[in-house]
Amino acid sequence: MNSLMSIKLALKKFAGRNEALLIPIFKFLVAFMALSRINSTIGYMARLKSAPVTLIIALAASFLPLNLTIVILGFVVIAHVYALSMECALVVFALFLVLYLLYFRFASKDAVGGVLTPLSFVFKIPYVMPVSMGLTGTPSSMVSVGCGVVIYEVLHFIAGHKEELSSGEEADKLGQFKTLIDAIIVNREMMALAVSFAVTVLVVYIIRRLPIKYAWFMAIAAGELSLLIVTLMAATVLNADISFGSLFIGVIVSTIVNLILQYFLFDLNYNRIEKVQFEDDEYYYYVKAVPKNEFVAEERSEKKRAVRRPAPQVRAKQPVRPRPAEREEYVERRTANPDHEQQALRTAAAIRGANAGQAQPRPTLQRPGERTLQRPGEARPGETRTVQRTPQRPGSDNLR
Amino acid sequence: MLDEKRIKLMTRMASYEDNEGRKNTSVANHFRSDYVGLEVVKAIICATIAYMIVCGVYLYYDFEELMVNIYKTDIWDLAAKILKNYVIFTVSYCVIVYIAFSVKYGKAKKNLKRYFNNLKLLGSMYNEQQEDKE
Repeated sequence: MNSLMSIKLALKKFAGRNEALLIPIFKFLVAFMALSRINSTIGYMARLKSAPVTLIIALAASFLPLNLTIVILGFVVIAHVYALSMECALVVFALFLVLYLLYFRFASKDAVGGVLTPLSFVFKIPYVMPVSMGLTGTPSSMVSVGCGVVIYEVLHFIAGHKEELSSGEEADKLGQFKTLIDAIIVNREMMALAVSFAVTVLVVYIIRRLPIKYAWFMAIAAGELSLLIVTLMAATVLNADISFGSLFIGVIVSTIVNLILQYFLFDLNYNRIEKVQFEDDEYYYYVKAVPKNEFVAEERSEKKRAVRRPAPQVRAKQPVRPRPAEREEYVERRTANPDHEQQALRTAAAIRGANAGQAQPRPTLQRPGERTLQRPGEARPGETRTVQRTPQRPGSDNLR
Repeated sequence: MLDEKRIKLMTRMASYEDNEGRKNTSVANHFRSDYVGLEVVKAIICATIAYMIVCGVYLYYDFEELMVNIYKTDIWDLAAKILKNYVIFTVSYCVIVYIAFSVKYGKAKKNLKRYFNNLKLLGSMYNEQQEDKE
């Protein structure tokens, strides 16, 4: 849990530090993804479809306000549809104009929902959007999500009926127009999804605003349930062609995505709720303060360190061993003479010589061609000496 | 001497001025009736254009049938029907707009009031600092 908190904190810090860079990148990515999807599904105008034009528009979008980008995307769609059929372009233009005049004119903040909903359909995660918009938006987001569903279905229909809509004969022009209008009016799948999405946004918004514990979790759960039930009901009543398997999988994916969203946007610690009550001249105040979850990395690491560090071992007192006479002498010399290493070696050699009749050479690292310093009583390289071994005196090992 | 509390307050106020503040000031420069009335007038214009577009699309959609039955159709009855639908649509849309913009006006006023209270608080902080210096 703490590692998740640290990731969240790191991401927040990173976003805060690089905000000036990240926002244009985000805008660029949204515009680029939307344009590429538009080009791949209804890219009928070759000039607009080309990669340089797509890149230029996406780059321009990264410095423009998001709402202006949405207007540009709208015109790109109309241009592509115009290359297919003028009548269809007229219908799409009329649809966009009506949506703008009646809704997006004064709810410009919600326009993002109108773009992200079709994109979520393209990325096969359409059921994420209503709950996300309910968590982050206002009740009016239900209209923008509904508009997003309508836009997607219209474009999807145009992409799927290219031959039907693109015949060049004059007599068929009215037929094309009628086909598209029928597709908008009598599209049962679109109606079912628009209704269920709108209801879900409203349910999620109402529950997340309730002054109860775990309101966001409950809102997500209720939203997913309502999404499931209302979509199933609407699909049954309207006889719409909605795959129940994809609906169930979509709802599960939506739950996971929205739980992640909740973690980043509204992570509260309900165990530390504080309730205070006070008054002034006019009112009594009953305040319930719910603290946010805090990152306690320093404290935890200190605690961990404290746990990892082995506890000091209490040793039983060893009986003091009487030092041999030679050891006493060595200690005295070492304290008296600063060159104690050499002294110690000489002393050791003397003691060993006394014990064994010959001192043992100290192992040294010797480079090729390097002469070893000769110690008194030591054999020269290549010289062999006969050594008479005598049993060692007990206690002489202490000096090694 | 830097005063952390004062700096926090000033940062919050500056952020408000840059984002919501501008819009709220333009909203609160009007009386409630003027502001909401103007928005309702705009809504009537927009609703009229939208209704005309929908009617135009419908006429084009049903053009053949309309031409075939043009002499059989009671034009006044058709006009009355279109007008009735227009009034219902426009009035219901204007009611929604009226409620939405009334709420928006109330919020803007409330935010501005909070902003001016913060301004007063900031002034008093400066006065206290001045007195401390003296």
